[in-house]
Order: sequence, then C-alpha cells, then structure tokens
Amino acid sequence: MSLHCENVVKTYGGKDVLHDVTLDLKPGKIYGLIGRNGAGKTTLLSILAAQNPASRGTVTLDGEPVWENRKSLAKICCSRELNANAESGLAAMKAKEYLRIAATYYDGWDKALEERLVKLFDLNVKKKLGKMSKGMLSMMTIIVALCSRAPYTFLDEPVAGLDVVAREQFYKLLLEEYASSGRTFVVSTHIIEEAADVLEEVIILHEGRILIEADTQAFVDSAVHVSGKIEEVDAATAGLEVHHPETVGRSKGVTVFLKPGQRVDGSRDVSVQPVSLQRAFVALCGEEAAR
Amino acid sequence: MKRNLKFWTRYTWECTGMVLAVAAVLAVIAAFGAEGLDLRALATVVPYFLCIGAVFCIMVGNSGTQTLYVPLLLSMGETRRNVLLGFHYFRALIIAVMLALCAAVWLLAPGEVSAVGLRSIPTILCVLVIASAMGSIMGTVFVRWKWAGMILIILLCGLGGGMVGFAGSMAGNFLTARTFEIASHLAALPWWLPAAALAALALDVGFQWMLLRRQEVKL
Amino acid sequence: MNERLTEQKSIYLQISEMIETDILREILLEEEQVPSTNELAKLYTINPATAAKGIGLLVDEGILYKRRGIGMFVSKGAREKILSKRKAAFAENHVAPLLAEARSLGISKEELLTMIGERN
Repeated sequence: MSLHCENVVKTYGGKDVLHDVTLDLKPGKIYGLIGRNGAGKTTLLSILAAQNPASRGTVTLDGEPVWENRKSLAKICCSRELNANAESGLAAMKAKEYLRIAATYYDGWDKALEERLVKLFDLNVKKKLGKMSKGMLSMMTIIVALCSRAPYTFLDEPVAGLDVVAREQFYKLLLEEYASSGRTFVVSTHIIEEAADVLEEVIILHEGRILIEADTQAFVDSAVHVSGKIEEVDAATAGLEVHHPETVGRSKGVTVFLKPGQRVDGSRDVSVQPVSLQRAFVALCGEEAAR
Repeated sequence: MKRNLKFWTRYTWECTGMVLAVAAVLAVIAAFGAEGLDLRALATVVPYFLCIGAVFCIMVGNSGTQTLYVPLLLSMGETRRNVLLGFHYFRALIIAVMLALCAAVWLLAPGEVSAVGLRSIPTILCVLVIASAMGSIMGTVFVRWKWAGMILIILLCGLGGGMVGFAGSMAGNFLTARTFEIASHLAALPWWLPAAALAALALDVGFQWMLLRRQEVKL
Repeated sequence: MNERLTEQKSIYLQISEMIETDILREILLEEEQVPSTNELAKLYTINPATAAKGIGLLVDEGILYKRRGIGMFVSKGAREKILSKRKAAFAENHVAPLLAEARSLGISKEELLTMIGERN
C-alpha cells in the first residue's frame, strides 16, 4: 500500500528537470516536499498525479499504474497552486464555478466542509479567480485539497500567499483533517518555519534530485551547528559531513549532518547547537548562494 | 462517467444560452430592418440566426474548452480518454440541440421557407460539425503552439465575427424574397460537404488525441 | 500546557517535559485525564506522531498510563516520580553549568555560596 514512483525523469526542452526520482509515499502520513523555487516540486507532484507525463519512469498506486487509470486517479488529488494571470483561461472563471467543477469531479467531495472553509477564510466566491489576491488563491488551493477527501492529497505551495496567521490556521486545519481521516498529505512549500513541526516526513528536493527523505525529527536531530576557533572546529568535525561553512576572522561556524553513530568531538573547545529544519535546509541547499 | 455527463451536460445548456442570445440579437436587428413586421415570416428565418450563432459559439467555445476545461479536468484527476469522450459528448449534444431547435421552429411555423429549412437540416449538420472541428483544432493548436495558435484564432475569430456582422447587415434583407433563394441553396446538399465534415472531424480527433496523450497541465 | 515550543530541543521532549511540569505544579492531578494526542497536535500545531512520541515517553516511565478506549491518565505517584527524577538531574542540568560559568568568570566557590545565600 503506497504511492510509488520509480526512476522518474522529466525533461523539458532537452533539460532534465527531474533526475531519476524514486519515492515511496506511505499512507497516513504528512509529508513535506521542500525545495527552493524551481527545484522541481510542482513537476514532481504533477507527475505523481498523472497531470503531466513523465519522460521516463513509472508511478504506481498500490501496485497499479496511475497514468490513465481512473481507479488510481480517484484516490489522488493534486490541488494546484492557482496562477490566474491574464493569459490563463482561469482568470475569467468565478471561484464558485471552480469549486463546483471540483465538487463534480472529486467523488468524495465534502460540501459541508467547503461551506465551512469558505466562511472561515471569508472568501467571496462570486469573485473571478483573476481578481483574487495571492492569499485568496492559496485558500482556494487549500479548500479543494481538504474537501476532495482523496486518500492521497497533494497541496502545491498552499501557504505561499498566506500571512503568518493564516498559515498557522491552515496547519491547524490540516492537522484536524489528518487526525479525523488519516489521509496522506504531501505539502510542497519553500516556507519551512512553521511547517517543520507539522510534517512527519521531509523530502528535500534540490535541482531535480531528492537529497533527503527522512523522518523530520530524526533529520533535524542529525544536524548540529558547530562553531568556535577555526582549527578547533576543523578538528572537531574532521571526517563528518560538513556544510555551509562561514568564517569571520578566526571564528568559524559549520552545519554538520551526523550519520548514525557519529558525533562531534566533545573534547574540543567548540559550541555545539541544535539547528532548526529551516537552518538545516539552508545549509544543504543554499551553498551556491553563500559562496 | 457520471461526473463527465453532469459536467458536460451543464456546459451544453450554458452554451445553448449563449447561442440563443446571439440569435435573439440578430432577430431584433432583422425585425427593425424589415418594412412592416411579419412575425410569422420572422419566425421562419430565426433558425438561420440560430445556426449563425451556433457556428460562432461552437467555434469560440471549442477552442476555449480545449485551452481551459481540458487541462482543468485533467488537473482534477480525470483520464485523458474520459476528457476526450466528455468533450465529444458535449459537441454532439450541442449540435443535436441546435438541430432540434431549428426543426421545432420550422415545424411550428410552417411555410415556404420552413419547408426548405427542414430539407436543409443535413447541410446545417455538416456545417456545424465542420465549425466544431475547426474550433477544436484552433484550441489544440493554441495549446501546443502558443503564438501561432493565437494568430490563427484571431484570424478565425475575425472571420467568425465578420460572418456575424455580415449576417447582421443581411438580417434586414432576410425577410425579403431573397430569403427563399438563400434557403434553397442550403437545402441542396453538395456531395462534398458530408465528406468535408467527416474529414474535419477525423483530422480534429486524431490531432487532439495525439496532443492530449502527452499534454502537460498548465493552468 | 501553555508554554511555547522552542527550537533548541526536540519537540517530543518538550511535550513530555511540559506535561511533567504541569503535574509538578498540580495543573494536572493524579488519576486525571491528560489531553489526547490530537488535542496536543492541534494546540501546538505539531504532527500527532510527535505528540504521541512525547506521551509514549511518559508511559514508558510509568508517569502516564492508558485506559483502553478512554485515553491517557496520570499515574498514582507520578508527581513523586517526577520530583525524584528532576532532583537527580538537577546537579547535572543546573549546578554543573553554574560552576562552569563561575569558573570562566573567576568566581570562587565561597563567593558563589555567598551569592546563593544572599538570594533568600
């Protein structure tokens, strides 16, 4: 029982956007798909939901192919980040209409929940999507995802347009729905701060490759920040996986990713501090930016 | 399949409403242009206005559907095969509704024009099928080749718009003796028209399926 | 139960410590039901699995126990258990860092004791 993709490659115009992605999404978990803008998050999700064809590789749900298979597709909802700019046909569509079509096409649509969320978010559904703010469009993404009741639900950047209060509200709603239904959620985001505690598993996608797929807590616990005198830091972290070094004068700070059984040499005069998921992510994926 | 029927049937009624609106506008123009309003004579030509409206709406509607509803339904987990089937169900249904409306008007308002009108239904069917296929091809081209498609659509919309404009200016004349002349032309079904309709449909379906199979959802 | 979470420590440890602190302060009484995993998850906006891990830790230590079909309850003698556990850890967690800081500042043991004496 899982949604599985194997050796998925996606090529656009001769350029590989996804390189050989293999992933296994187990039922009843909240996954976070995190990565920088352009890392391939949307492409990966849309291939998992058979919205886009993969250039190579397979996607299966409980062993059955997802592509052109209504039985599998009925269990998947990939709620897209709506981009209702002027050239998109969606701009002229009313929010109400979009929700009506979603209600027609998702078998398990929860109308009562839809009404509750529209009220909670104070959305004017008579508005055209093209006239909605980024935050309102994020709310539409969230409403479709939660109301679809699909066993595998993907939310593509659901918090990108939300302010911090609305983000917290969204995560509470997500947890509530998760607790009552046990559905599998995949939340793609580049805003990691509040997401870290909600996501049970974290998948870090960087330049079309999966760098990390792990229990969020275990991954965060494996990362530490080591700082002190340059020589002491180098000695304490010798042989370890070191990322994102920063030096100021004689002082140096690095982020270390410890493998099971490894530890920072405690006899050295260095400070060892825990790091947040956000810091760990920046250490892994932000090296070009730091250089 | 149930959701497909529900969605596309509803969409058919929306499009029918649009066609009726266009036909109503043309009918009003015709009524004003005519010297001495003869409601009965007006009624017998209304189906032609309906057909003009249908050609226009089906063309624009199909290309719009191809660029909006097809990717939207794919994004909501429908298979490509079902999207194609649903789309063609809609296309068949709206043409059937249009023909039924024309036939109904002509049967309710019998007369010279109505008699030739009823005989011209096969011609109208072919014209609508061709318009439907052209609209769909325009949409497909637009989805695949953004700019080239856009230019093609503008040209064809211009053509469609021109046709409606022409029809509008002609509308006054419709109630004159020429109506019968024009209607008679339509009643004679040239041998190549059904062939052209079939060819357009085949071209459209083949082209559409070829692209739909690999289509990316971009909304 | 209303402390805030920090990034300095694993969330599940913080959850279990918060419950312990509430038992110590008699906000939660013995033989009383504690909030469910889902309630904790929603309150702190954390994954239920994390909350469950924190609660599991306390169950393993015999501080909480499960009543089938009802939920988690504070065990009899839980407060006593937490007290002795925290006392045992006090020297390590609080006295050791105090002495280390005093040493790097050059504060003598006598000075330190005086300071503590003056506090009361």
